[in-house]
Amino acid sequence: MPSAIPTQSQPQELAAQLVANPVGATSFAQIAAAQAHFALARALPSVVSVAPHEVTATGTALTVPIQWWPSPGCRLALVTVDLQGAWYIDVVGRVFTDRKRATVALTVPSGAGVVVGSTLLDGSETLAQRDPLSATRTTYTGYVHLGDWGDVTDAVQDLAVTVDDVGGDTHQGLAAITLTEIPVATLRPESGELGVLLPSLDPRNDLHDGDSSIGSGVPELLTAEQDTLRTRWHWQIATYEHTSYAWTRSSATIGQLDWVGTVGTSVDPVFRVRVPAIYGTSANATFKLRIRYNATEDGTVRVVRDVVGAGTSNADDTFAASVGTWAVFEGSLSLSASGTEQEMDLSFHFSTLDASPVYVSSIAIIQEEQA
Amino acid sequence: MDLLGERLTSVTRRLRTPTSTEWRAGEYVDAGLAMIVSHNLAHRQRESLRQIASALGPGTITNAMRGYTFQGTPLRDVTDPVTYSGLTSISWDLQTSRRFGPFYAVRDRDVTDEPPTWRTVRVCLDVTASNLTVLACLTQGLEFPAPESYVAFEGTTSTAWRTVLTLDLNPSRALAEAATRCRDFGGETEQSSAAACSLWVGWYGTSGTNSVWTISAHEVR
Repeated sequence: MPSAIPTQSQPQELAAQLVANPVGATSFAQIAAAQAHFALARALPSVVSVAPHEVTATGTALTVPIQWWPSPGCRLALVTVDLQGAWYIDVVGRVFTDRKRATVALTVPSGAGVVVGSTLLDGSETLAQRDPLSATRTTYTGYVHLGDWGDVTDAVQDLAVTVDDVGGDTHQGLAAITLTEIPVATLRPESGELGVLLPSLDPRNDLHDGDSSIGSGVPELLTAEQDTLRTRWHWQIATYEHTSYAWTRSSATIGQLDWVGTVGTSVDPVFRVRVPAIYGTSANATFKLRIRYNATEDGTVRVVRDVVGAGTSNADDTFAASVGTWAVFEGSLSLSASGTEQEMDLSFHFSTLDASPVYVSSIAIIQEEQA
Repeated sequence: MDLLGERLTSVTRRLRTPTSTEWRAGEYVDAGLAMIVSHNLAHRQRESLRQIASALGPGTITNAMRGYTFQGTPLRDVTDPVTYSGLTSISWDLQTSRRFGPFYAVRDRDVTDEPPTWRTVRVCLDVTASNLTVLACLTQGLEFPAPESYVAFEGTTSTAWRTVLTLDLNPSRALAEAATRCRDFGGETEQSSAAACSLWVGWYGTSGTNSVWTISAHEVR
């Protein structure tokens, strides 16, 4: 029987448990199960929301990568895409526009599939590009289903959104990409999904682990609480995975990227985040740092961590030459939640041993499983 | 009672609990373990705040660009109000704004003597400001920012040169949940009820050099 997910948090008073006494399913376990289900299936992350830059009209297919470690409670995710488009002709000072066409294809991981929204996002449908004389956006939506629990490996998955031209129409890239996990109405532990099988919490008894063939819900409840850590915090930026459009640096000295498209090399931009204090504000929680890059030589990546109201520190790691192909660097990153309101400014520096270029298309920081 | 549940006094971290293999058959859950599990879940609830968006900004912007025209020709779907204030300071076209999301709002913010409401969304912009106005707006679903259709709006003007500007958006109760497909596989579909909203971030420069380098947004309590 599916377990319904509350749409709001379920508060519990500690005083409801009398010290040194056994606790009952009704006084404790059912509320705790509802809390765990809320964390597993309701407050799900917004995985990525980025605004790539407009490119000069091209007939080349351009792909923006997405890195996603799906939450166990998520079964369907919403993907939205806005297209760029600034084509016009100027007739004696008067602008005339027409909407060119493009296709958008979403590549999903093994075990997952695409579900139609406003479009199928499979590259087969011709979509209108943006009209520069319109302020409102034309947003195309689609969904990614994750199949049954276990169909998609419980690890970071690489997805891709590819925009391409249609016929003689060139395109100017993507204006916005979002992937967000959709809260579910029920969890189904009876069919292998995470969560607590509510009938296992027998309301007539103290909560104890008696007959393992029936189960009293204790291991399920403890595991469900630990599993709530697998609803993972995501931070991510991304651009086109193409050496003519990706962010880049060509130097043997560590320093800021050329943020191709808008920011360029004008400044070293900072991204402000709120660091979740899983293990408190003084203990540094570990996150997965995952970067998609292309380099012909080994190099160094530096994450500059400027804790708001405190000091700055660097986290350095090395990446290996990818021999001219796009590859994934994966390391761990320690982030402190000790800043004012747990906030931190992040910036990203790169170098290569021989000053050859390193290209970067995506940087993601994802909370690791730490039960 | 705190909407998010009680935590153990002075403990602001998750505490370790026995794994299912460490748990011995026949044991009962006593109040101590129950309190720890409750504490962990309440702590988890507090720390479930999410990153909403993170992106590079437009870089250096063109001063006096309100976006009601493109290359001198009026836009087709918005009207220049001539006098500008608040939400109508800009047209919210692609020259003057970016759209992020949608994301699904969570209703677990305590308001004294009122029912719980939506979490606060904090927008942080890394800018160089000679005289720069930045604006942020939340709308239901994929709606466009308009005086009759937004659920939160904030703006600020800065002359602080290089700085991080912060705008806190408190969604109004007008933000409503709607039926949303949440499962669709193997012929089985399911709907849940959730409040989708889009975040719009805009800019307007008056004088000097004005740049928006990055746009970040996350939830805060």
